[in-house]
Amino acid sequence: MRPRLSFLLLALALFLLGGVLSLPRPQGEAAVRPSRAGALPEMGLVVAARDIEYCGYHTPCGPGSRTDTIFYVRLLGEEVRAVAIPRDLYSPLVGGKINAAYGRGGAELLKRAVEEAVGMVAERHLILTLDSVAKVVDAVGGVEVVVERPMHYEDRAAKLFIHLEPGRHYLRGAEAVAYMRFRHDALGDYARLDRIKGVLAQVLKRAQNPATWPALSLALREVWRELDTDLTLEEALAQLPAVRGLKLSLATLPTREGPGTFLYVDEERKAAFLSPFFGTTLPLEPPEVPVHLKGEGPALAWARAWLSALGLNPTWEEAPVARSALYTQDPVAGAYFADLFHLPLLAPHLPVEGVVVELGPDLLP
Amino acid sequence: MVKPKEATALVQQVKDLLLEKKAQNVVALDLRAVSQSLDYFVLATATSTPHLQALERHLVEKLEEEHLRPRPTEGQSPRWVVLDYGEVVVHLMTREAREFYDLEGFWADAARL
Repeated sequence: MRPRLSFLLLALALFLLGGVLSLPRPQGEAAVRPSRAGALPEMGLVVAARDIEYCGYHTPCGPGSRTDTIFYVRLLGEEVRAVAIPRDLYSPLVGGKINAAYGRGGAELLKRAVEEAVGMVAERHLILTLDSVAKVVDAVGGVEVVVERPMHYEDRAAKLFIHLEPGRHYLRGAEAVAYMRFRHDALGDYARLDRIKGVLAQVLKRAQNPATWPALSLALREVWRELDTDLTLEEALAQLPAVRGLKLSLATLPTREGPGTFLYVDEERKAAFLSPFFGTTLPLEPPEVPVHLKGEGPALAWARAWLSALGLNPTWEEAPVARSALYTQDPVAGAYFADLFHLPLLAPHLPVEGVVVELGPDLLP
Repeated sequence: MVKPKEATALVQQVKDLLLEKKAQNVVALDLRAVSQSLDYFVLATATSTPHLQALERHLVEKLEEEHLRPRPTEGQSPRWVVLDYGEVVVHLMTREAREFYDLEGFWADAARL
């Protein structure tokens, strides 16, 4: 069993970077100019990454037709909310797994399959290749990850070489891609989606630093022709400064297992989760859920003192944290605390009790 | 070791250094009221890629004499160089890049220094 040549999706990054705002615009130079005045448009976007095609034994020959990593991205003004869609999801439109949609009917079929699974409209698409993702990660200067269990896998045919011991690692583009492709662990695809979400959040954060903009714009120019998208490069590049204020929330579509290797949308949990997740109303009072703080030294002390002042009584633990983020399956509490801490909200597929706030050294100046 | 320096004084010094080397359309923006995480931008246009490199070299060398060094950044573009001095971020651009990205237009509500 080798890791599927599935892929990731830093698309967001690409997209965020750029596309965020690309509703159709009137022609003319002035009309494409970015502007902070007024609300940003609301739109739905399907972002997917293509796997690798094999022409023969151990002979990769370019991007393939399957899209093992698929995100539905909703842009709500300055907020970006994205739902990862498991590759094994059964799609009645496709008559099989959703990852085959792109190969069978191109971006249009993929968009329709995603719309059907999520129940939201998808206006645009952005289909990435592995190379393009690696270049974007390189352009933002790489990412830092924490590995909990050893990750070892080699697949020469797929040019996939992963050797990571537990601990903190700094990864360049190609390594980050390998890290996200790895699915050789007990949780398989779900764990992979969680890793992708973590890397994605970090890429976006780095893209918000103006020092990365020139390199990013170069990388985008270079990779844009590899991409299948209905966003234009000009639309994307001109919007680079808009990533500055973006807030990102990421979750996974709730699914249940079915016959064979298929997954099916868990309609009940989807209804309970997705509408608040895509809604925008924040509760006025702190939601009554357990809050757990995890982190090191001053950041931990600061957060404890702050929450106490709000009348909350969080549990806490000293532990190394590479990147600050907030984890929960409760979209309402998640939205509230993510806003409070100005942290990305990441909903992992595994149950998390209440809200877990991880505070890393990246929070401190 | 970085010598602490008043940000607005640094902005002025950057502008002066750029003008010395004939940078065009030098503009400083105060972003503190319009951005949560940015303080000051200094924008300048270079007439060619060699001019862009000359501006970059001049600025880096002169500020280094005062122990100010930009934060390291990944691969720079031939049309757009960013020097990140913490509170003050300097954007050196060719004319096309300056027009295309239109950072001033994007932060049109920022005060000019």
